Amino acid sequence: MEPLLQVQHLKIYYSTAYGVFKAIDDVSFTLKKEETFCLIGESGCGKSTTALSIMRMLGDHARIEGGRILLENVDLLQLGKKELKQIWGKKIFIIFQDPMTSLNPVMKISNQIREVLIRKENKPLRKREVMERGMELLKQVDISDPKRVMDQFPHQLSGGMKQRVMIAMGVCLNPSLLILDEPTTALDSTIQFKIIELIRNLKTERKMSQILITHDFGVAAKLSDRIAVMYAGKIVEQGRYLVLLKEPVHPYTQGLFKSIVKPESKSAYLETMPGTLPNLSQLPKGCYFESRCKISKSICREHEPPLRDLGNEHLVACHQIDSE
Amino acid sequence: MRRLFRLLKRNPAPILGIIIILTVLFAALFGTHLAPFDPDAMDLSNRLKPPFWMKDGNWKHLFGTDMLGRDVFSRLICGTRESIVIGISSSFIALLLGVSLGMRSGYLGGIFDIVVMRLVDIMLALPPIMIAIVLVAIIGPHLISIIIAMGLTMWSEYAKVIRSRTLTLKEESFILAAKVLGSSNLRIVLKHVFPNIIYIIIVIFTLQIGTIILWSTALSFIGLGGVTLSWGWDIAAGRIYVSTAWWLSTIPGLAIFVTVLGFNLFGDWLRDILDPSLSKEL
Amino acid sequence: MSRAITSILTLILLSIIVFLIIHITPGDPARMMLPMESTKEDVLEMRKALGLDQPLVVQYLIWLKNAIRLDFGSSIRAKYSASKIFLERLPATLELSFASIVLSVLFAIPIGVFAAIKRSSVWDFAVSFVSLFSLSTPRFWLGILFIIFFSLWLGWLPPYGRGPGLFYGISQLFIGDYMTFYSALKHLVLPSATLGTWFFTIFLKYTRASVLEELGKLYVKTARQKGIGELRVLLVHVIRNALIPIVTVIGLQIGSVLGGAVIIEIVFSWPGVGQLLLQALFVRDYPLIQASLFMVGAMIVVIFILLDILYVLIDPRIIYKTT
Repeated sequence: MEPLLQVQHLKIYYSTAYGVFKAIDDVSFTLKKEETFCLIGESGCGKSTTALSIMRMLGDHARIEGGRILLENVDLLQLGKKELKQIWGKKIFIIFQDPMTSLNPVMKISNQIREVLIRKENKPLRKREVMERGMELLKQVDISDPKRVMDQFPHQLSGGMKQRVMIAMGVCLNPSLLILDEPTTALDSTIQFKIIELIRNLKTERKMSQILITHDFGVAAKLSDRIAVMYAGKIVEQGRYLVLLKEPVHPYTQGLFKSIVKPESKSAYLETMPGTLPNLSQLPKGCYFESRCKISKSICREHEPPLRDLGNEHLVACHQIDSE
Repeated sequence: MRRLFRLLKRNPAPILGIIIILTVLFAALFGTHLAPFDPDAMDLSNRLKPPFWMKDGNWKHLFGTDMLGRDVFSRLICGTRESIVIGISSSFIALLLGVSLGMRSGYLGGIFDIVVMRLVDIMLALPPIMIAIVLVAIIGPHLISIIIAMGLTMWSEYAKVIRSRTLTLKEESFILAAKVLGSSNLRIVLKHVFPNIIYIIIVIFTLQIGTIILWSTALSFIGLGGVTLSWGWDIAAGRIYVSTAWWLSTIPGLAIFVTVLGFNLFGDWLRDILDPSLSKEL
Repeated sequence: MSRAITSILTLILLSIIVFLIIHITPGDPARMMLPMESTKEDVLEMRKALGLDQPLVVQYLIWLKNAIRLDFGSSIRAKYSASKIFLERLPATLELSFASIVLSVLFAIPIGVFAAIKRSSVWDFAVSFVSLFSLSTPRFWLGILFIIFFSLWLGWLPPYGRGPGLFYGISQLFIGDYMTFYSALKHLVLPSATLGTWFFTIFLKYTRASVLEELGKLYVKTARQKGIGELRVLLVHVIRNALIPIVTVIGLQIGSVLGGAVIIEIVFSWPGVGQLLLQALFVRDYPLIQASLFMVGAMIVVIFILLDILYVLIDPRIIYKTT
């Protein structure tokens, strides 16, 4: 099957007064149609930056140092503002992390939905049409009282409701690619389940391919088909979720899975990994994870490990793993 | 220290500010001795002479003479004293009032806090002119009226900022630790709270001098400061001659502008290096 | 609610201070109102007539009662109702203040938005530069410079006075008389431009900061990805949010504008309340001083209440907070 999105050797650097930060350093992956690809990792590993760079919504300080992002064979990194405006919404849509500030605080929900409807239809709509279709949309995201919500302002809605409104907007525009940047992080755990359900239905019922950014393994477990583990701006392991879950190969991935508290674990001891993320402006010559790694050898200090294919779509960047 | 030099190299503006401030302070302190003429010495045969760069001007009277034959340049230098005296004394009054009330308000809270904050709201709303007028109505048009008026106008700015800082500091762990160890409130305030807010006080003090000079010269201009040797009053006196001797009203104003600019340049820079978050509140 | 309480407290405090002016000032108010040759009995009678023989609190309450009905007694100089004199001069000051605010806002908003969009560019630095200079310039001096430049040297605009006044000028428009309106405008330009510069600079700074802050928020990104054109994003989304705190700014600066109006009125011989108050001050016309101070204070309080109402109207978060 032809991939929907191809990220090839993406490099995003931030130049600041304190030096150059390599936020994303040679990241590559592909997204197939109708699959959920998850980027997982600690805060600061570059996953949100990846999402925003696909949307080309990074700030002025970010420099695209190299790479291509191909969506249906068009390099998104080469597009001008006008062309981006065409693509935004219709081809890609992003659901942001913080529902509190994703919606305009002084506009009623009906007005904000109206904007989306106008984009969809490409013509102005009458008030009644906006209300009817808006309520229809809200029903599709499981909002039980759509009429009331339409007349409200964002601050009157709960976090979960706001996130549903955002998803509703996405549903309306029906893009081929939906990016979800930590969609449930800011929500109560009781609401998270429902939103996750909603997101899963988007893939199955509406055939939307998804890139999911998260640091929560629970969320990743429920939604992803394939995942990529990111560390310090690089992908260290990539593959089908079930494969990685059963047999994580990269020491970092192993450490991550081990540190999840499982209900059946008898020990009271929480596994952790020593050390912290390296300074993104002073990255080492060799493997970035080396200083925290239990199995590192001298070669790890000297050379960056390339991503190697272990078969079965399982890729790893580590010198110490033999590819069979 | 080295970092300071690097910062200054990138943005040399505050150096100009410091130079101006030092010059003005120097003139305020020693001006009366260094001025070429006695600022009050009248010479009616030599009235309304223009500055040296104009036809009819001469180097003896650099900036010309006024309607009573007095040397404008000397009056300019000696006028510095009034502006600086008002600037610094009013700023001090505001500081004493504002910091003490603000700290007490933030630290102790309660009814005191509520009352003080209402007072601050009222003071911030009223124009400084009204306060000055009330004072002049009672005391009369003197220098002291302006000093007190400006002090009363500016204290509320201190109070608001100091109070909010004190509030945040109050919850900091080291304060709570000191309390647990049994230090008295006064001791905590002096030893722990005060050193943390001293930077803010310095910034506000410097920036306020500029504003005070602007307002106080305006008050002198309309005569509320009495007929003294001051820039504001000289500008007022020169108004009638604005069509013939325009320099009488223009030059002292330039002095005000440069002085305030100096304090603002320096004050802004101080704020940026000591506590940039202040720029949201000031 | 809290603003209402503050307003009432302000008025009460103001009334007490204004009332006390006569009593704190050294000298006997009764004697001051009488000619020099008055005898002791005349002074005593005057004191009785003025109610000065009563306890202070009673005097205050009587004064307050009259003040609420806008009766401050007669001006010593002009010999008729102080409050009437004040109200006659008030429109001029309001015209000047209002024109300054309108002018400042009109210029500051577009320039502020522009500086925010083109942040850190040459334009932005130019704006910061000009702001710094503007905040260091004494307004009364600037007014005189304007007069020298635009009136005396260029001859474009009149140097002093109000001319026919804007209200009259507008009323004349209806009968087809453009010249009066034009003359009123010409007289208004320099004073309001002078008074407005301070407000303009402060407004500019706030607008720029506010727009800058809004531009960084997520809802702007949401709006953009909905495909909305950049201009609409700016106008409909960003500016509507950015301008809300600006109502607060106006409130904070009202005092400065009215206070500055007093001074500018002197500079331009503008026949407003400021000039009136200062003249009254120098001849110690206490009824007039009290009337002016109190009514100006009351006016400020009313403006605050109006601004509060405006705030509620434009920020939906305030009303609906109760639901």
